[in-house]
Amino acid sequence: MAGARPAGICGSRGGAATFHRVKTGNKPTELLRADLLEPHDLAALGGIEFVARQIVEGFIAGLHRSPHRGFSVEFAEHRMYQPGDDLRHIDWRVFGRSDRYYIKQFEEETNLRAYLLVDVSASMEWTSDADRIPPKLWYAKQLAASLALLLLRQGDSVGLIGFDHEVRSRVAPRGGRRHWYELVRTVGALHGAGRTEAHTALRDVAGRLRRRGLIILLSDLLVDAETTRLALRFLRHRGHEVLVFHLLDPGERELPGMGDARFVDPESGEELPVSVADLRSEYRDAVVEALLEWRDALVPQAVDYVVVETDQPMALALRAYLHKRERLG
Amino acid sequence: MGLLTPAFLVLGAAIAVPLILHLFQRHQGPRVVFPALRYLRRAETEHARRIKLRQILLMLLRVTALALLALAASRPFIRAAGASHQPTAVAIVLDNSMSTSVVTGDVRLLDELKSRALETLEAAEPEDVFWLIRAGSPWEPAWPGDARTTAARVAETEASSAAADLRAAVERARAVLDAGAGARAAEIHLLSDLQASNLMGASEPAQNAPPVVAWVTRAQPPANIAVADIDVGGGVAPIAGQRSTVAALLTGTGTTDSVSVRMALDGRVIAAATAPVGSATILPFPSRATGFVGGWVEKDPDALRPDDRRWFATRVGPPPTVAIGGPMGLVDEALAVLESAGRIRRAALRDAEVALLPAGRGIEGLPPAQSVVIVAPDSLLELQAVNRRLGAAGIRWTLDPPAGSGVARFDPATLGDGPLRTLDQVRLSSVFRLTPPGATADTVLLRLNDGTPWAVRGIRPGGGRFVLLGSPLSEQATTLPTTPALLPLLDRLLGPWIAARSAVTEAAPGDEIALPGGATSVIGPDSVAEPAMAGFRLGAAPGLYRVLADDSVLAIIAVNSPALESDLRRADVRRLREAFPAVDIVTADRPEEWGRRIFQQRVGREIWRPLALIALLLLVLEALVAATGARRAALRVRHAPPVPPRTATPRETQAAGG
Repeated sequence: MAGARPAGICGSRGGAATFHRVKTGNKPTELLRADLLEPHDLAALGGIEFVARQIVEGFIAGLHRSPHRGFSVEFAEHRMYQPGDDLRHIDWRVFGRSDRYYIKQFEEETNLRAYLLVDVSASMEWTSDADRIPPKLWYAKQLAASLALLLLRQGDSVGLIGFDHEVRSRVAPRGGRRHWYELVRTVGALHGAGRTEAHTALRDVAGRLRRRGLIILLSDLLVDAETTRLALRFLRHRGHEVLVFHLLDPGERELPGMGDARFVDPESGEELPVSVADLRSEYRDAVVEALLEWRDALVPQAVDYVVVETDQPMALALRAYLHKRERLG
Repeated sequence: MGLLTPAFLVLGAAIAVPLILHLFQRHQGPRVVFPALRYLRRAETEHARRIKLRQILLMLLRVTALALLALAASRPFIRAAGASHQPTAVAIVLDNSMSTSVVTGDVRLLDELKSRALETLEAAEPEDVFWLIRAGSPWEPAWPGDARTTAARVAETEASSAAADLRAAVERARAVLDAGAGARAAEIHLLSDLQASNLMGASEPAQNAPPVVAWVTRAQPPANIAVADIDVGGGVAPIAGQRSTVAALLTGTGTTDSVSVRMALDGRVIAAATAPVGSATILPFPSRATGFVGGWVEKDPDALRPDDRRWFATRVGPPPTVAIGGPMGLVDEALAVLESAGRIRRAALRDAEVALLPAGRGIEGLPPAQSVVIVAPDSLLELQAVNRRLGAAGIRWTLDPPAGSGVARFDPATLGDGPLRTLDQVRLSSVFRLTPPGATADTVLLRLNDGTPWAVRGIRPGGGRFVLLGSPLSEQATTLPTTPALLPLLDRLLGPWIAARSAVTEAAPGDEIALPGGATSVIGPDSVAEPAMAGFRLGAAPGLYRVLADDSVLAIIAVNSPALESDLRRADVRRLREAFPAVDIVTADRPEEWGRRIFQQRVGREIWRPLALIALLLLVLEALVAATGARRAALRVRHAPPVPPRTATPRETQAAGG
């Protein structure tokens, strides 16, 4: 199969698992799932639509080997048993009353509304290594598209908001496979600019979601922490489930290797002269402390907080989503 | 503490680098877009104080480490804490003057001084160089050599009979060190009895003079009585066939007021007496035939033996025949007195050995080999005629009119302590200037108190001698004819001053003397003959030196130590420092102290290794302090609640069941 495909890519049709040939050092060529590829390799595969689909396909293929049994469904009606039906679905109570075999029929849940909030501020366009690590916004777009596809496949309705200091684009939540293409188009058109004010988008969502829903925030969280946390608590207070993906470029964990430098905030233009050698360890401390503060502030509010580094495969983020979704039933 | 390679201290300038970086660093680096600026600001705000303290600590550690490294590179050592020393050039000034022959207890002082010198040489390193300067033998060169050869020279050093000039010796030592020490450290080791008479005056203050380590002997100088002076015939040479006297002066200190003295002539004791200390004792000088006579006066021995005997020499001869060229008033009468005393004989002008010529009159008729005494004219009018006569006689001196008016006197310094001392009372109202012909070897016998010559002696082209006097000997021109000084002046003038033979009868050891013409050899006290040469240098041994022309004796020279050398009083350390101003003088009076004082650039244990080690530890500490933040951050991460870890590789993630 691999030999018949263009170099580097193996594909599938009709939702079958998709594998990609990846050169790993001196070792023989191996086949890997797209959701386990490094973002740098993923970026070489193609556009958002293709990549997101490959990620989701790969991810779901992995789920088949897991103990997960499927999604929640809701009882719809009874019908007569016919040979070949699964005996586990026979309603034995009805059999006791009527001495006939009836099969329970179920209906998929379609009433979960999810909103994907994508931070499109200027800081999201930054990457510490343009050759190896994609920008945070690229990562957020891929993740958003993948999450949307997963949600839609489960029958949920998905909406999207792109924001910086205000809402830049909005897609109302709907279900159906076709809706995904609209979401992908919208996501693909997003580009980073402006300052970040996540609470604006969060309040916007809060005003639009009347039923309990799932809000997934994809941001580097270089925002005003207090107002953002307040907005997240407000959402939780309204009964919404919240999942925060804190996107972190690996270059943000560690200061670059240089002597003196004037560091400039791409959003505010603020400049800070620093002797890197003097602050390197302290900066490392500050990053860890900031992450711990986010976690300590959100986890007690039952907000799922996931730090995703942009050189990590998508599967980790998707797994976090999956756990969340399982808890929602 | 000292430094072996102090030039490396310039490396210490490197401490300016961390200092400048600390004080003037303004973080003017490149512009870097960095979105996580809030974390950076947070780190800076929260840790500003600690960062500042750490920066100061790092700066101090770096500065200290660099300073220690520079210090270690200059190879420091602890002074006087070890047996070795840095390469040193040492000038050993060993005083072997007569006074160091003194014996105190059972030890001769010179041996004590030699022991100290040998201790210096035993402590020498192979890179050291030495010069031995024998202060009591100033005519010797400064002997260079290594420790072994110098030790041999020290061991063979014997006391001389000469005096030491310690100032001159130290200045010589300074000169040889300036010329030959090179990059070595320099020291002068002064080994002397520090005799006060050897430290007269003071040296010029010297810059960068090498230090002087001086030995101060603890033994007190013993009492010493010396035969300090001998005067034969009261300063007038004995006349053949006439008896004379010898006056021996005893000086010194002691418990006795008088000592026994003996006098010998030509090796035979001919007189003895008990002489009081502090005054002259008159001993009889027997009638002798014409010729040179040598002898000695000796006292009983004491702690300093060399000055117990003093040598003398004189020439016994017939009185000179004298003629006078014209009437000279009182001078005629004085000559009559000298004739009656047997000091001179009268003769015709052409037959006399010495002609006394007023205004040089008659010199043209005398043979060129005849000695003449030319007296200045009474009148200025004769001046040109006198100068013509002088020129005609081959005498190139001229008489010129006096430069000024007034009364002149003799310079006391040229009169000596003998009978001529009374000339200092003489007044000269008429004085002509004696003008030399340029460079001349003629001798100035007497000078006036303004330094101008009054009596000069020279040799005429025909071999005869001349003495030219700057004043007429008349009562109108000078008070000389009416004073007692006239007789001894005429006696000298007509005797030894004008005599054809050498007048040198006494000298100090090592003196360079002019031998009389015709001399072929000199026989010293050790009976060893040395060939005569111009500028003959006498030996160090006292005694009689006979100047020979083949087999005949031309002169006998008595060589004795300077009388001051018998004065054993010592200078104290203060006087020593005064004699050498601006010189670092270190003294020692015990052998063990001497061992510690010498080689001041002593290299104790070098301490560059511990310094380098400390610097290294400081650099390690600096690295640890610099990395403190990193470790702390790592610890926090380890103990913090889990933040989603990074995924190292896709393979790991897949293996985990993704």
